[in-house]
Amino acid sequence: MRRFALILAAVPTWAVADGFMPLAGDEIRAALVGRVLVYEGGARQSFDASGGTVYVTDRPSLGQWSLRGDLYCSLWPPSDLWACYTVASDGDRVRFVGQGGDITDGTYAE
Amino acid sequence: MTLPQDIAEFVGDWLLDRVIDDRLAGQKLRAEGGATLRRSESGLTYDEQVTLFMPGQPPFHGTRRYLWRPGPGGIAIHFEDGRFFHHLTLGQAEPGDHHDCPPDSYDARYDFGRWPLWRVRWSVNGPRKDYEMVTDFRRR
Repeated sequence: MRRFALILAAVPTWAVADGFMPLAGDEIRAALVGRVLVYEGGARQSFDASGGTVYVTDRPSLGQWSLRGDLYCSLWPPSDLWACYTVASDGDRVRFVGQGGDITDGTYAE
Repeated sequence: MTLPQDIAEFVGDWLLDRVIDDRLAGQKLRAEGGATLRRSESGLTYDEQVTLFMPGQPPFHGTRRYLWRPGPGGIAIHFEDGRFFHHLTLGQAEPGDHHDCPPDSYDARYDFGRWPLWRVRWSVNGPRKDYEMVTDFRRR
């Protein structure tokens, strides 16, 4: 029980509260490559194995993504700085949490 | 002083060195790589490959593509997805332009005073961005 409590203490509260569990690097790759996420407002994002990502609203925007350990990082022109996020999933949704604590949820498209 | 007067003068391979002064994070980052400008149907295609070095982390390898199209007085630079990015005026030593990407703003200042060495300085500001990026180009 003590060990279980220690494990829970290491899991972010936002993950436990909403049923999301944090993903490690390989799990992030498996959760994203070849999948499409739909965000609030209808935007869709796909991720390819070579590190390309496409975000589609009224038109597509091309970006790049990469893993840094257990962080998902992305780069969207014209920005030149990579932004990194922790990632969690509840199986149906993927949650990105920015370094400032901002949360973005995407739902897998059918 | 010799200044580039035509988009065709950029064709070829360039080496680049880049410094990003991230004022929000309080760190300076360095990147190096190359850029190639090839002729295309609509002008030139700019392909960049850079390695970004961040303290305590493995290097980031990134690529970027822009579409350079001849325009009035210079070059209209577009993103790979076709959106207009900014205008590069030719015939001036230090042309500049501005790009809004709400909520962020991007200000460019080119320097062709030592052509064919050239430099572009981007000043970027936004709620989560405050950095200056200087890239120096030289012929490979």
